[in-house]
Amino acid sequence: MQKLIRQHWWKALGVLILIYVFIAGMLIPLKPGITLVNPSSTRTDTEVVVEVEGYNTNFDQAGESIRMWLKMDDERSIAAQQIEVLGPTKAKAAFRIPAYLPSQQKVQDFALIIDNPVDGATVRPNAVLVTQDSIDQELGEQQWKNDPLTNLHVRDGITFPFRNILGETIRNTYFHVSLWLAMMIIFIAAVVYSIRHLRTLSLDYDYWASSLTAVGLLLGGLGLFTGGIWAQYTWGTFWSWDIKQFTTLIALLIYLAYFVLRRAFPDEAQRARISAVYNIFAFVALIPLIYVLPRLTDSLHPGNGGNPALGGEDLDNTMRMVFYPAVIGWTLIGSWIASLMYRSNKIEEQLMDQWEE
Amino acid sequence: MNMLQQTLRLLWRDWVLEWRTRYALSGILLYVFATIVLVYSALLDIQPQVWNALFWVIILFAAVSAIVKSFVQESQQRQLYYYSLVHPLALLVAKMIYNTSLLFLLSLLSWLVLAFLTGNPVKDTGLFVLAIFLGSMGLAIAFTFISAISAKAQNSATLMAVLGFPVIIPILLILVKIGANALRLMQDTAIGGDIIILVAINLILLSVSILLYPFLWRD
Amino acid sequence: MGRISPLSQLFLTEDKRSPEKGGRFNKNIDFSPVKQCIMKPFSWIATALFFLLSMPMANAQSGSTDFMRSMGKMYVVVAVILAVFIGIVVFLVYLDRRLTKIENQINDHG
Repeated sequence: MQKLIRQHWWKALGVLILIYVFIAGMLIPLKPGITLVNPSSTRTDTEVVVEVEGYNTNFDQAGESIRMWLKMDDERSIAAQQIEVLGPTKAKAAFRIPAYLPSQQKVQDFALIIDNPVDGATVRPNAVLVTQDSIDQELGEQQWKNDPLTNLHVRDGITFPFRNILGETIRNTYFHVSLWLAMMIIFIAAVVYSIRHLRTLSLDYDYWASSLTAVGLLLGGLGLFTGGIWAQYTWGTFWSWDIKQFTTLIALLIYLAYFVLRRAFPDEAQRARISAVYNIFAFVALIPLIYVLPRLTDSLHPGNGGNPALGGEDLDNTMRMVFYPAVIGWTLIGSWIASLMYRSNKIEEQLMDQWEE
Repeated sequence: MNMLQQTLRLLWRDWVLEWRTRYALSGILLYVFATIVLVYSALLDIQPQVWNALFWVIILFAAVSAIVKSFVQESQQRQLYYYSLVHPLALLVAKMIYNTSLLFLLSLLSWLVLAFLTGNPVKDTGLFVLAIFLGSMGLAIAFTFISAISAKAQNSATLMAVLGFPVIIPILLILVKIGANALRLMQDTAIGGDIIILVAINLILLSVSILLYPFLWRD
Repeated sequence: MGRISPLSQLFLTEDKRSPEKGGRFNKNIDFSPVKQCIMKPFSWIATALFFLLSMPMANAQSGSTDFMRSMGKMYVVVAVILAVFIGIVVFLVYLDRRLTKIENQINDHG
């Protein structure tokens, strides 16, 4: 370990990874998406003209080759009769909703799909809700004229997914979430060093434990701050007493109390032992606070309160390309800072020893 | 003496000491009384939400002041005496049980006094008593452990408050929620889940304390 | 101690006496050039950030309608982020070198 902290390759690697994350994370464009569908609800047996607004779309370039569908499920869709392009991001489409739908539900939701060779295929789920005046599933099935989705185009180039409400802010995933994961890794290292200290009573491990805890606090604080900024733009306020925001704040407070505890003991050996014990306790408290409690109650956060967790829905393959390196980058930079703090503690110890001679 | 006997013996000793001076009990009751009079004169009419919040705040401060002494009051010689005689866990568990029972008793008494002065809006008594019991246990376990840590340092009271504060926030949140339920302020069908969470927190705190205490003991 | 990096020369004064002779390792180092080295780029970055952040803020509420049109601004944002980050990294490198130097001094002495 002593040799490793003096080498520079991993520090440069961390810096380069983060530079890549900043550039790629911010500059790669989003996939075209649909931001507005108006009207969003209609009834059966009507001709409805839907006004559509897109994001990052090029309807004008696509011109005649645009096609739109209202999709009910994997097998059934209604194609637009007529499409009028008003601009690169605005278009109007006329749909004929049949009198009977092959569905038992009073209100059936339809997804809107737009396809053109320039943008590829974009989808907005639950775009239009159709209320059935009279429900007759069998009649609906008989009369259904299906316009299947065919020949959907795929857009060239790397893009990030487009999500409603999030929009461009999805880029914050590379910072906010990666900071938390890096913080977890650093805290795990801190608790490992605390345990090792209790086993060997070597002050070295205590220096490592305190440096790593400090860096973990820094990353956690940044994570909380970036989360608040994200919340400002997507949820409306910086601090919304969301359960996950709150429990992570408590977890950080517990770690902050670690440093208050350290200051209360003038004797080094005693300080090291007691703070090692507290570090283990803080880590054990961290796990349920951050991961278990938010899942049990309602939360605005994705991954908690019934929402699907990170991975799968939330991370696209293109996002993974930037996200995992970001975690590694923050961890490396964090370890660098921790190693610097450790080394200055070590120097102080060596100087004290020398001067006592 | 095996560990169970040691634990019981220590527990008995703590209770006897307390009963002789009744220091903690009287102090807390005085505190409760003063707080209620103050709030009452300010508000004149205590709504159920205020009652709920007030109750748990009183319990919190009772916990802090009652439990802070549990390790601090032991002098150095007495600690050494214990070290040679008993198993460390016996002392810890004895203190925890003592603190839990003390806090439980104090909570019940506070409830009585509060009810006497401002009325008793509790509709679901069983749930409330359960909440008090689990809450006392959780607060006692957390604070006993923190007290064990901070007894080694000089200015223990503030240290204990700082260390303890983040740990007990989740416990208090759940207690307030259960309390609100018992007062029929809100209807929460998942209240069983909350209770289980409280039990789980208690167990986690308990196991962590048990695991880590021997290391503190060596000091 | 032959090679002293140009960065280190910014803050080393000539008095490198060891503790026995009355000097102290770190108190003799003149910090003011270092402070200038750090504060000047920071204040520049701070002004740049201030102007740049006040512009996109107005758009942010509408959900950044057309990314393509504001692509020009995006490059500036990335440039600013990179500048701040590189600044922090340079500071870390300076700390790293400084610590290595002190460690070598101790090892030579002891």
